[in-house]
Amino acid sequence: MLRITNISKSFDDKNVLDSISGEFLPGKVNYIIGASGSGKTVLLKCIVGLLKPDTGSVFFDDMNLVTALFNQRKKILREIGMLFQGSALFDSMNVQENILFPLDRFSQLNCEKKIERVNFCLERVKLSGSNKLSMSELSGGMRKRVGIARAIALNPRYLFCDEPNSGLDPQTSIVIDKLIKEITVEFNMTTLVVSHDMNSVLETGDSIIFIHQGKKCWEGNREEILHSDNTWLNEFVFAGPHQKMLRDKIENRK
Amino acid sequence: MNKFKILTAIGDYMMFLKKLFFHREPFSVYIRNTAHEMVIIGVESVTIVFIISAFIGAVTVVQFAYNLENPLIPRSVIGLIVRDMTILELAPTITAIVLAGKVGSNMAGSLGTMKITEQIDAIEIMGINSASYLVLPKIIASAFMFPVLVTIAAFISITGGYFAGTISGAITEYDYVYGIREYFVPYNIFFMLVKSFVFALLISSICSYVGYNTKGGALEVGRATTVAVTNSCIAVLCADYVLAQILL
Repeated sequence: MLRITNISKSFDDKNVLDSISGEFLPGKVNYIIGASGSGKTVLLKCIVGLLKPDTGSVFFDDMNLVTALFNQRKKILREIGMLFQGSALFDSMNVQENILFPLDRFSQLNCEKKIERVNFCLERVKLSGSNKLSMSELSGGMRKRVGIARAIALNPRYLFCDEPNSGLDPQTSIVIDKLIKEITVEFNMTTLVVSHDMNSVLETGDSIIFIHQGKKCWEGNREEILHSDNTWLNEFVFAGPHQKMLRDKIENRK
Repeated sequence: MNKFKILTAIGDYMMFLKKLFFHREPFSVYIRNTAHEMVIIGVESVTIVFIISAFIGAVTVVQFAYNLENPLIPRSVIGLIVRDMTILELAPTITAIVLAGKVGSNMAGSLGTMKITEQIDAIEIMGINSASYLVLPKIIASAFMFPVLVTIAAFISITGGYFAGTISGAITEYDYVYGIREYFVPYNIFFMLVKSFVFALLISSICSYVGYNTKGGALEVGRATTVAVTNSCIAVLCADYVLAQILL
């Protein structure tokens, strides 16, 4: 289980995160949502240790990543897989080498078993046979899927996704959302997704935290989000005229 | 304010260097990466080093021959001057500046791109010391390859001078060879190698530092590359003076 308590972070005089706490359960797709600039990516970076929070703790089971010594920290990080917003694949390597990278560093498997694992991961993200493709040959959706394959290569217990649907068309977004959901359930991972794509949230969000101006404003699940009376959340979720129409329909059904 | 900025940058640079050696990966991890970097830094730079040093030697001979009007000064002095200028200054310094432009910009550009596309974060998230993993092989490879390239540059420059001098008739074959053998001080070779080693450390570490700390987008990568090359060239020239004061 992943638990964060009172995470605060500021850059110079600007307070970006203000005492955010939350709990994220295994086998569930947990979402952190909020408008652009609300601090959700900073929160994600604090959780995975890319940024050090000013105050607060990040517990992976009982181990606090913020205060962990180097070796403990290394141990925690090796149980983490992360899908970055731009996929962050290594341009100088092909698909297979990208997925092999964590396996080469941290697994004790022999060469044959590593390739088997690569093929398994590629099959899992429906990219079988694309081992030798270079990064320039991949579409946006394929890059995301290779990113997911690399993230799950070491069979991590925690999966973090930073805006997994950014830059993707609606259909590909649904494919990626479903893939994240399937993998989370299949491997009983604790998955945390940062997004502002409400389609994804409503499709796969088991537990949702809404952040507004660096503060946690709301917490609930995808059923509750449509009926919340939180003003900030409603402004975010029902931002456009179509969404407002949807809200009115929901209200009328009540 | 600027004074503090410079001090902060120097402090950051020192912290960056410290980061390369603490919590580093097992030594075996670096061997393959270092070999790969040696090819990029060394083998792929031979052509440019060859062309530039050949012309530097040739131009030096032609210009000295043109200026050496006094009949009391033997023509073999041209060979001696070309040799000493090449070994003491031109080969290490000009090669270093050329490599700062070619190799240094490549280091800063590639690391900067990796930074802004979150590839460095991806390495960090795996529990790898990204600075050490990415930068240390570049520094080690530079430290090995720069002295080799500078030695090649010195040899090619003197050879270039020989051909330019003899073909143009500025100096006879005998005078040139006599000149380059006259009053030869082996210590100068040591000085040249020390210089090239120090320049390698400066160029590779400064360019890597600037690239690694790039923030922003594509525009900032370009800017970082320019800053990296400019700063490393200045560092090379400062170190050139300091080393000459200390070692000569």
